Amino acid sequence: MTGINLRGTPGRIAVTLATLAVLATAAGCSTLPDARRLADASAQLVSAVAAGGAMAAGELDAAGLPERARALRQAWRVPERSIAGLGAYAEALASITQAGRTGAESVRRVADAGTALAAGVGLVLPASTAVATGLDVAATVYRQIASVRASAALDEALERMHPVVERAAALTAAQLEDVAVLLVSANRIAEVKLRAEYADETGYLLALRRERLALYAQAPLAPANAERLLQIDRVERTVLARLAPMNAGLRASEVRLRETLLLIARTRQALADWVLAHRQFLHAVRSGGTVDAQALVQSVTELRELVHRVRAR
Amino acid sequence: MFDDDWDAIEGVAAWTGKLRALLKDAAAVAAHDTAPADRLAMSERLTRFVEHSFPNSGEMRTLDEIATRAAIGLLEQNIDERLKSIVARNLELTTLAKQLEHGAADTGASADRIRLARAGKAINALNDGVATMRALREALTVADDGTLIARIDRAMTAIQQVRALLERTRA
Repeated sequence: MTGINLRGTPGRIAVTLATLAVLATAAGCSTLPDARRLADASAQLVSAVAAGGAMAAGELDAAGLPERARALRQAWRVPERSIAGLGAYAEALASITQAGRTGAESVRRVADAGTALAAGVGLVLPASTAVATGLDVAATVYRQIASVRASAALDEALERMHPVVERAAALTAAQLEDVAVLLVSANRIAEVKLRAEYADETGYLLALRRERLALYAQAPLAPANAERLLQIDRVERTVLARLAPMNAGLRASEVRLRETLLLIARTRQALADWVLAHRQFLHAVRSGGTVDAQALVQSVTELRELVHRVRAR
Repeated sequence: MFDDDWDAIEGVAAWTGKLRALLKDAAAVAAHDTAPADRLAMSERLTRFVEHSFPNSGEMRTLDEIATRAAIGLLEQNIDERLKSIVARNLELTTLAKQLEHGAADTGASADRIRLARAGKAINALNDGVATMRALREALTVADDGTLIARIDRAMTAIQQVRALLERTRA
């Protein structure tokens, strides 16, 4: 590309700027869509995918399956790395759009450094006003050029990477589906163990209730049976009190499971929304349109809260 | 959900028969292509067996232990199958992760080119070099080392030429 020659005579500067102006006119004045939302959303996805795996591994530990918990933690590094890769890619997209928007600043930064260098080696520059004027025009022109270069770079990156993004998201969603089954099964093992631990009390309670139903079925109610019903009531209360820790444990476990499953479902949804936004982004770069990232923003906001809640447990 | 009539079962022999029937059903859902939900439902039936079987004599406890182990075994099968599936899928996902990382690096490099980052960095590095050489030159006298001073002057001229080149190539 044509540079900005600070050492040039006014004539040379004029030629250089004229060339830049032609380039800018040919390029047109394109507006780049912002990739910042994609980058922000992917940061949230990174933390949601990590939380889903960590919660499932924790559930395996709680079920008394530490070997499998270790295996899952080890295996889950890959989906985490894949989502982190998605995040790094989205950050790079955002940096392109940012670079395209701040083209003028780039020229100024390089020119400032060049001026300092020229002074350092004792070079005589044209009059400072001429340099400043030239720089202003050049910066304005480069703003357009940077925008076009960014647009071309985005188009190329988005088209080349879309199949990769799509496949990585689909596979990660499938991994999350597996983790959901694993989570439910581990949660259920802990439940089976807890219920087996209290099986004597539960069995006794069920036997009492059967006996009560049998007594109700006898009419008229004999005084001895009425006394037995009262006794059943008292014993039942005692048994229920002994079952209270089990019931509390089951309730807590159920709430934890429900929230983690919700987190996994929402993460899968957010992945789908991300892929859609990526496709829209490519379309917007080509057509000059905008990206409606509302669905993605909503998914991600919900995810942020869920991750926070699940981690707090 | 399968409706087991627990209230109709009485005595160790009947409970043993019930467990035998349950284990037969459990063996069927342990087959490889069974949906995880079916195994969850079967493990629930076995757990209910443990809860409903009564009274808890020594023989009944043995039956309960067998039912509990079977219930857990089915759930562990779900876990092992899913772990295996995650690991298998990871092969392709690792390749995709690398492609994403390369894509990020390439895209980042494009951003740097647009930001004229290389030109800026190179000129800044040259600036640092010039400052160092000026300081060195000022610290020397002709009597100290005339040859060295001449070389520093030549190096500064070379930097000037590099800078001119950089301005032409820019990014």
